[in-house]
Amino acid sequence: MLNIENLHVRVEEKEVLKGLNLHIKAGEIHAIMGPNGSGKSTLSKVIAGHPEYTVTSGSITYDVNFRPKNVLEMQPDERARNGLFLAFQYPVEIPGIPNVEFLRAAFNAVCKHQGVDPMETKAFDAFVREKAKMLEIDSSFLDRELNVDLSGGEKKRNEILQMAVLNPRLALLDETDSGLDVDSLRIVSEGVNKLKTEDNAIVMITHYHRILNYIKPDFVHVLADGRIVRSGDVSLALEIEDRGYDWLLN
Amino acid sequence: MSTAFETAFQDLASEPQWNPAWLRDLRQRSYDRFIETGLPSRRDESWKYTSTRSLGEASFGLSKNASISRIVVERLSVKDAHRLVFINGVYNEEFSILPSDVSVVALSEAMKTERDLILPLLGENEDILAVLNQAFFSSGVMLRVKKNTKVQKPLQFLFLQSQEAAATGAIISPRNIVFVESGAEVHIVESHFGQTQHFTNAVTDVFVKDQAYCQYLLERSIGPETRYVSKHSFHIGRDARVETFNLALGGKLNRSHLEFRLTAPGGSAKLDGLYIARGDNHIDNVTEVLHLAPNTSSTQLYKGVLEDKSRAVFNGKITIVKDAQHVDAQQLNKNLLMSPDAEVDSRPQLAIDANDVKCSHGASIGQIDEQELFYLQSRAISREDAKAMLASAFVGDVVGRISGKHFTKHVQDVLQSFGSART
Repeated sequence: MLNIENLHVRVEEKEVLKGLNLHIKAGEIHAIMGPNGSGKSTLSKVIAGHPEYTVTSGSITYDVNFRPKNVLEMQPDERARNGLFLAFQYPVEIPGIPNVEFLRAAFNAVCKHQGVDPMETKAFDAFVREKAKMLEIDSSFLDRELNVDLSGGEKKRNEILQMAVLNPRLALLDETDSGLDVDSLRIVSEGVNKLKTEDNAIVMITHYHRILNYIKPDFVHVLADGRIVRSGDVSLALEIEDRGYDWLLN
Repeated sequence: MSTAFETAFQDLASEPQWNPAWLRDLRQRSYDRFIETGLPSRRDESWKYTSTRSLGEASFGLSKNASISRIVVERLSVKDAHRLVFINGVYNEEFSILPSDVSVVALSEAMKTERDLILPLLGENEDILAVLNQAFFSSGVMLRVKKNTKVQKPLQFLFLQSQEAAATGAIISPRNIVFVESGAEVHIVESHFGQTQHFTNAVTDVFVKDQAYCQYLLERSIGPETRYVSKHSFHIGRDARVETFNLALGGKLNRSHLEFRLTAPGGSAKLDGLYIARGDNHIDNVTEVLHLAPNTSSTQLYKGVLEDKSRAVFNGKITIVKDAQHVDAQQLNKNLLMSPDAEVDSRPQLAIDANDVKCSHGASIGQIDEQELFYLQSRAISREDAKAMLASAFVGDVVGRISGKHFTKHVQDVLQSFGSART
């Protein structure tokens, strides 16, 4: 579904990713772990199309209608309309835009892309309320301004609500677990598990092993200094929990 | 320059019904003074950032054919409102729908009965464009809301142009005087939706007497070749309240000058505004708040969104005279530049001669936040739609400040139709 080959990425003058390879198929869950500054967030933002990052070489392809397409030639919104989703580590606060209107605009942009009529306001309200319920999000939350004055944990839940509404084929969860208390982590993880099918894939980017107790990855990768230095199954995550990253870096 | 209005002035001289002797004399004196002074230039403080070249280089006619179709009138009318229709600046009784509790008299008639009241108003203008209005003004109205009367439905002043005026580029010079008598209450919306290359030069006085309330929405959603200049003076009495909302959309030259004279204790003015310019639009907002008495207050929030190569000016002056103690005056102007070629000049000014006052002012100019834009785009929303959402979020709070039930929806509709007219 997503293939990354020898990816090199610069931010301003600094090379952050230095020849990264990653292959993701439908139905899989991947976890990408690594120390601070190893390039984890850069990877997720490059896949989503953040303008601050420059790809200097390598490629990212993503299957659209069963054909690999060059992601780097697609605008961020085009990527999203084709089922790529990034749950932000730091969701942006936007005063003046009610959460529910934002969700409707996003949902209807995807509908339009798929050639489906936009959902009526009332029907959408019911639809989004059900998704909110699944994530134990109070419905008053929907009428508030987008991410404004939400706690860190609430913002993360709101990201997963957006994921539930957009139902992406490939979801990148960038440190969705950080800032969540135990209960929120469980609720968010259960939500993600409910959204998981044989046709979609999930990439979790995390510092900690904690979320992997709830969402079981098929593959665990360790990212260090801009490359994937080790891949394995969930036992690799357990080993990191025990021994830290140092033994992988040398 | 003098040739720009010469034809129109000659035409006017041949219109006997608009020219009783006293008026002919007033017009001639005003025209002479205008010719002597000329159009405002950039040396004039309040015109520093706005050129009048598009007026001086034109040649304006005078439209005598005031025919217009009822369909146009109905289409531009505010729903469920009373209305006074003006065609080429001339009050049109046929299309107007008046409430029973206000009196409306054509200015030419009012001059016969209330000459002592009105003539001084017409005579004492400092503003040279108001003087030009005096040379040309056609029959506006004197509207009076009687004492302690609360007019329930809003009242629309709807300004329309005949096709002839539109085609020839006419000068249109409305002149209206509103009295809101003590204890009365009224909601007025003044609408200009012209799309052609005419020039509107309007002057309005609004007297809001003791304990009275006046809500006044001034809206111009005008075309890229349309020129509009106006001066509104609000004379605010004891414990009287005025709330204005100034909506300026589009225009080759779209300038309003709103003056608030707080003449007695307890008077208050809320003056908010929103301007959106695109293409080569030029919008100029002048606000002038004069605290002439103690215990008066004013608050203003003006927001602007500038796209493409458009320009806007905010020129806001607050004056607090000596002895006007315990005044509370606030002013804020915020601008959002949607394009690197757009420009705004913001000049908040304070002149305070009293020592026990509360006063604040500020201005900001910002751009679309790239992080916000990326966030919306990452949720499948196109860059253009995301920009429009952010601009609409930016203006949301000022639109939300419109009091009462009458105008909020109307303003949102006008904004939407201006937005969807983008090419």
